Amino acid sequence: MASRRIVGALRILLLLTGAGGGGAVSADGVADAALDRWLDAQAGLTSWKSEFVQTRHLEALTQPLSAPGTVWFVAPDRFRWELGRPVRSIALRDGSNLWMLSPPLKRAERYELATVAQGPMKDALTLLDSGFPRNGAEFRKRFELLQFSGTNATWMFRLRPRSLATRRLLPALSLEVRTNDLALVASELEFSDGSRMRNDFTGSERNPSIPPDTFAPVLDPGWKITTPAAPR
Amino acid sequence: MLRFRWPWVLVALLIVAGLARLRLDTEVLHLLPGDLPAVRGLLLQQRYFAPARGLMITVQGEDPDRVSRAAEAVASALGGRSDLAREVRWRPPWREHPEDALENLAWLWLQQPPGSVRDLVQRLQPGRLEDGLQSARERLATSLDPMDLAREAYDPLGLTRIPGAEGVGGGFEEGTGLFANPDGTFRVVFVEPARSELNYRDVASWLDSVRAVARDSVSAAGMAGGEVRMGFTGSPAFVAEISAGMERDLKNSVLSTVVLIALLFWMAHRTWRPLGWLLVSLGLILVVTLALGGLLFGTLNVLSVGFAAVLLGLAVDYGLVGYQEAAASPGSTPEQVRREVSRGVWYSAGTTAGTFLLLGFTGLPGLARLGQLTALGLLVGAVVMLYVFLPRVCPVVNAGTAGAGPDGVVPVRTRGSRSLWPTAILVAGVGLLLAWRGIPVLTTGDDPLRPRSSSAYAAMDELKAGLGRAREPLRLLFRGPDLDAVSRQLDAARATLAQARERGTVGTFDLPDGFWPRPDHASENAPSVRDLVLRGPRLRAAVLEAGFKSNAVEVADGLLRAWPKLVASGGSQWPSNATARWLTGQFVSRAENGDWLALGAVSSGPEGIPGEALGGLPDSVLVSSWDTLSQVLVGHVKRRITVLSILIAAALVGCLWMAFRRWREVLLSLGALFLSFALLLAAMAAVHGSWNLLSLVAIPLLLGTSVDSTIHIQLALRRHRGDGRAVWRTTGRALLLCAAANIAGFGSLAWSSNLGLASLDVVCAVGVACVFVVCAGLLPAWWRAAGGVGRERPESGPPSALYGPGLWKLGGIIARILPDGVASWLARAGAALYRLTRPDRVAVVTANLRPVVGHEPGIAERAARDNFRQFALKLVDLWRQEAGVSFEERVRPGGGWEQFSSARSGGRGVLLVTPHLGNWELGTVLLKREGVRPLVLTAPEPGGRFTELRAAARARQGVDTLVVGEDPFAFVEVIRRLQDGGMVALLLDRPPEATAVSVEFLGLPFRASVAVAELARASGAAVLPVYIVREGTGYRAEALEPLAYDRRALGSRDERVAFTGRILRAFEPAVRQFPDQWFHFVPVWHPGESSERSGSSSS
Repeated sequence: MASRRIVGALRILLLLTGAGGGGAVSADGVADAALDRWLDAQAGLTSWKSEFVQTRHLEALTQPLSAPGTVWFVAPDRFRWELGRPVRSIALRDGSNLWMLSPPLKRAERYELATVAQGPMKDALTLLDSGFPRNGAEFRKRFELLQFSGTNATWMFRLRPRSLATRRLLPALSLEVRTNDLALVASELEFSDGSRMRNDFTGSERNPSIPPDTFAPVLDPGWKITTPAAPR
Repeated sequence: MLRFRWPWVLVALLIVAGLARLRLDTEVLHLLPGDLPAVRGLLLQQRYFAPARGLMITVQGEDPDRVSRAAEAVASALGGRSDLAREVRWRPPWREHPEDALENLAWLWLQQPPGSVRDLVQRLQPGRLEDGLQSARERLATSLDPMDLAREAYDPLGLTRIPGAEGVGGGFEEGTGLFANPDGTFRVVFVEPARSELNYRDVASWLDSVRAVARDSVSAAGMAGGEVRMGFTGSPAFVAEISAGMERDLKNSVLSTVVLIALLFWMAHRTWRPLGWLLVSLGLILVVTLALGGLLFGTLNVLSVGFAAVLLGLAVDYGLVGYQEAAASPGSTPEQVRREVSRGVWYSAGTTAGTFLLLGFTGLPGLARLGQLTALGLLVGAVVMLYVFLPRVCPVVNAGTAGAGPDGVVPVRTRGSRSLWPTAILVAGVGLLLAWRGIPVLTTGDDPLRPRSSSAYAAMDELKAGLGRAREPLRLLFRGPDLDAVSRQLDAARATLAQARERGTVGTFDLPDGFWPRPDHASENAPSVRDLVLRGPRLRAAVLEAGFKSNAVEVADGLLRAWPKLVASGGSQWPSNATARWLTGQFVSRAENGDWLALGAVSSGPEGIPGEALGGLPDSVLVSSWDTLSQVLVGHVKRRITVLSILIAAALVGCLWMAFRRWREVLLSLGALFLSFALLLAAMAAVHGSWNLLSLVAIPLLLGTSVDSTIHIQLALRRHRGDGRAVWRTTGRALLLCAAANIAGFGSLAWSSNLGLASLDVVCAVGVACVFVVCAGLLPAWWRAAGGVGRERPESGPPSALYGPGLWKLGGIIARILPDGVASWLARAGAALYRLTRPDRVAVVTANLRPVVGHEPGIAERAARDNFRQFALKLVDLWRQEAGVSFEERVRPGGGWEQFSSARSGGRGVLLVTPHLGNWELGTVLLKREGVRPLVLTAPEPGGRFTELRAAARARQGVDTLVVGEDPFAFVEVIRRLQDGGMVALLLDRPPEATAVSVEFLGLPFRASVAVAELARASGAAVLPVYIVREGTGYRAEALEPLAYDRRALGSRDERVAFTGRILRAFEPAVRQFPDQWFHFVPVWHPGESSERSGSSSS
């Protein structure tokens, strides 16, 4: 209990100094209309697959870090993120569970989503599913549109989580959408310490057929499985 | 006057002293059994751990920023008031003192097992260090876990990865779950009061001040009341609320009960003075009981505070029964009324008080105290009503003011019906209702200990919901004389809990072992840590060379700065920074005796926590939780209630037997109680009621408090020979008033601020109503149907159950062993005890002596008291004589003894005749001296072989015994002995039915034995009245003048009756002179009879 609190205290010290979002910029009607269009288009998305390169600009590092990856999504709430070549990390959601897998270490952490209404895994979910909104109203309940900029080729929405707790970790995020087919081309998450994480999607497929077992963890007996956020 | 006033002065002093000592105990846990580990654990938490003692102010609203500002404003305002708060926290201390975290982390490393620290040192050796930094970069590039990202970026050396802290469960502990909810719309401000030792009034005043400061600060911060809402909970809020509720309960319940009683009394009797005296008496009872409670116990708790209304409702019965009896018997003196009702009152007070005392067996100290106070009050109530109230209202009744008003109550139809149809209809109705709705079950869901309507509880519920603590974990409390002892318990508990978690029988668990001082580890780790400190610059350089910025070494820098100081201090105590102090306050404390206390927590698995899951914990660990407390208590109390009910039922049967001495009436009482209980169940079923922890206690309580109704009704039926009207006029109406008063007493607590007390009292009130319906409405018919008074003579009781061979032998042994003085003292004490326990016998003796000593108030009572004492002394002497102790020195002939010699001189036989006056058996001493061997005529003694026992004892004294009635030809032998000049002794009064005739004695009809006259006629023997009475420590034998008679005339029965009367009246002066030695313990006067003056003659 105590040690956890000490560790927690340290994390807060590290993560939250200087926390707080920037001044909100009211979005005008054009921005809202653009966001609505994209959200409407997302409503027709049943599945999605894309390659991506993730670039992390971390405040504690002098140079950004990059890693390739693949993402699969099936509406309404299944996804699989793989990062690294060979794969170093996998995050997958099979409906009611969120799995965080580390293939090199053969370690798996399982979170029951019903019990992670708060805490770091809720934040992780925000990181992982913010690009796949299914319901416009729900999306707007979770995020506030701060800024919009558009060109003929792309729209960029800068959003802020409405949840104070999420905002402490993730003050803002941006989504870049291609105007011709309203496909997500990039997302960028901004952390409270100034770090940023950008995903540039390439070769994306809209509504492909994805086998259901893509979202099931394949764990041989050598894997160590833990459930860190079991009910208290 | 002095004799009268001094007792009242003493009572007044007692009241003042007792009331001055009385305190209110608001601690709910003190109501519960302290021997239960769950209760002990919670009590220790409340007492020693800061979070359980402080005030929590909840702040909530729609806008997180406003809520945050409001909480900060409240904390800031209260923090500036040192007169109110010692410490105020609205967010975790590490937010205000981030530097503390690094010192605490350094301290934690120092306490780790040396192997872990050695591993760290190895991991940071050149070569492995660079590999580790490269791995950190890889993880930063590819990890999808935000925790990893945060940790690796700012701690590439992995110094925050303490082995003991891994796997404990992740989470950004920015106070979420402790100080605020995730979205910031709910916050908690913790306030530690400036002073810890406050009484409940001070706490209430302190809370009012805190409330005012908090509200003002929110207003000053520019927020309207609707934008943020505040709640106040925690120990001070509960104390203030509960104590206010207790005061309110005490006042309201007493006031409403008194008003209802007064109203009922007025409706029934329409008379002011008795009503005034009734209220004064009730006030006296309440005040004296409160004072006694103060002297004996010192405190009233949440439950025992309810005693007052219950007591008033019950104690008023005694006054009402007496008043009704007085009203129904105009002209009776207070003593007469008291004699009539005292038996019922004392049995009732005794059984009810006993029942309340048995509440101690429920294992709930709160209820036990309620029971003790009520029991005490009932005994006080019986005394006050019999000796203060009755003497003051009887003259009023006799003056014709009582009962003169119109009947305020409609009598039930008890005119002598034997019909059992109403019973059958009721039983059928009850059965159908229970079959339809089912028997009310015991529920454990609602907490009967919590207040009915409580803003503090509501705020606590909001706090739990707001912070996601809907299910409280089980708390584990460790206690040991030193840190090492607690540490060992923590290690053992961790092993047990880890296994349980592997099996899935528990969820997560938190133990403070990771933050527990381990001086041995600190000492062993010191060299490794010094090594790291020395290598600090190289570590820093390696991190920067790996592509990290300087902010990535801040954690390492902080640890390297802290370690030297900690190593120097030895690490045997916790760090002294604010964060560490706050943290340790959450889970470490010290008891007054110096013991260390530590607090852990276990959350349940999906199926709850089975008992065996925690079976491996050290025995000294106390497991507790508010959530499971109710279940634990119900299990604890349920078993005891069963045993208690059986005990009470057995005690009731005993009491009923003592009161009735007839199994038929005992069974009728039990039947009435059973049906009443069934009716109560049906009433509960009708409104979908259920039992809870406290209302369960109503079962034994009702058994005990209702038994008096069955006693009063059946004794009244006996008194009035089954006359329903008379029973209703005297006892029935009184019982109606009593039941109404009881219902008022119990019912007044239906609105008690305590849910459990309210439910208990509602059940009791309904139960009393059910008992009244059955007892007044149905029981008289059952009683008549079962045979009514039967053939037994009214108001004549059997001889005392103590008069039997067993106790006689025992008495003989004791009297022989003990010195005379000790035996006499014991005899007097025994007589006093008997008088106390058998007021009915006292009443009989008093009534027997009234024609002897006159009707002046108090004279007969005093004579009766002396009579019992003399009888006890006589018994001792008799036992001693039968045991062979010589009475030669103690028995002397009186002035008239020469009559005995002259009677013998004629050569005729002599009939020695004596009443039950003095110690007639000692006459054998003088007869032996005269060389006479008399024959004593006696009736069979009660009990097996008792007659033989007594006869053998007489034989040893040289006396023959003839048991009348055993041998039809025995009288032939008696006559022959008399005709041969022998001597026969017999008792004249209290004859067997066959020889009884009614003659005039002391001007009243009296039953005497005609056998003397019969024997005189048959034998011609001289009839010599004799008696032997006690004077000082000796005995004086007196012989009266022999009574002359005409043997021929005795051929007429009338003459024999008249002669019998003459013999008896010869003793009138002696009986008047020695009323204290005229021993009759069954009624001897029969007003309905007339003395026989004429009749048909027979031979």
